[in-house]
Amino acid sequence: METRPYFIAGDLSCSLLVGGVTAVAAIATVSQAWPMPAAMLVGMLLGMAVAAVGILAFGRCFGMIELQMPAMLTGMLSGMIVSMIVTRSPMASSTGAAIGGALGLATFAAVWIADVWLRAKGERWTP
Amino acid sequence: MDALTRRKWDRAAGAFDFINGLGAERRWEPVKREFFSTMHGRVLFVAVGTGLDIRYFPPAVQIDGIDISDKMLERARPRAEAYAGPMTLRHLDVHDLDYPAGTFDQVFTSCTFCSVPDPVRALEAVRRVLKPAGELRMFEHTGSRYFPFNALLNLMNPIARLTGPEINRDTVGNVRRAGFRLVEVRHAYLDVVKTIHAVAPA
Repeated sequence: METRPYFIAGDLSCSLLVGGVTAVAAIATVSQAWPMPAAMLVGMLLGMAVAAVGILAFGRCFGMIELQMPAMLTGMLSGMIVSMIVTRSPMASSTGAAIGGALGLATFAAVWIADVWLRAKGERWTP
Repeated sequence: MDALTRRKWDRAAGAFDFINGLGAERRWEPVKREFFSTMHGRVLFVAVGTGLDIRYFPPAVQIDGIDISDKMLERARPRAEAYAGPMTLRHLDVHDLDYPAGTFDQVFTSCTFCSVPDPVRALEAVRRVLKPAGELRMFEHTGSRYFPFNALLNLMNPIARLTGPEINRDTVGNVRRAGFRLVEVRHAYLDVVKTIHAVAPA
């Protein structure tokens, strides 16, 4: 698993930023007048677009392949969840950004744990 | 030679080091150092690119580097000339390897088979130029077998392939389909970035 502070800080910052910005973008786009499934779909697409920008912005310093998993998952989750909530009740941008950031942190942690688990699953064939 | 692939990588050559030369190289330096430390004998390095990996090669190995892109090779040339051993560069498509059968002790690849248009045919060509029981060693990013990573990579692949590599390939399966015997697969990030060690039939 990644243990170097430089890369952990980069991966985490990208996910936090993508989560927060996606949530704010979803709040600005979706309203209570929207049907929930359409709002969630648009929120997810917004999250993918924000994540793509984040991956490009952070990619040179931290490597794109490793950034894309937590950042893209964060964007999709943040967009869907915040859009779903906004179709039921209005939300302040600051609250949305905090929820998006929390989702970024949770996704980063989940991917990090998955990395520990999957890296232990290499295979060796004995002739 | 595949003109479409050549043009794609010729276009990518200008910005390749800017995009990949800092974060990705720093991230994978420990893995690549260990991976390339096993080089010995006569080695074919497929898709040398701009030569970013040459710094990890152990000295005094006889290395033939090939790439489909002239523009990439232009940038790789100074790095190949600085290598402490005999190293040649050739403009060559991996599908059309023209070396005699059984030329090489080892073939190395580094983020190559995400971009080769017909990976199984290219791996068969690689197998032909390897000596019996010769080694194939790959550092590659591939698709994932696990949700949600596999879904995500499949979703993003059509966009990724427009500008560069495919990100959902079953490269381990392709190695098997090309007639190699797998020795070891080690995961470097999730089950997406990995090293593959396989051997040609004896």
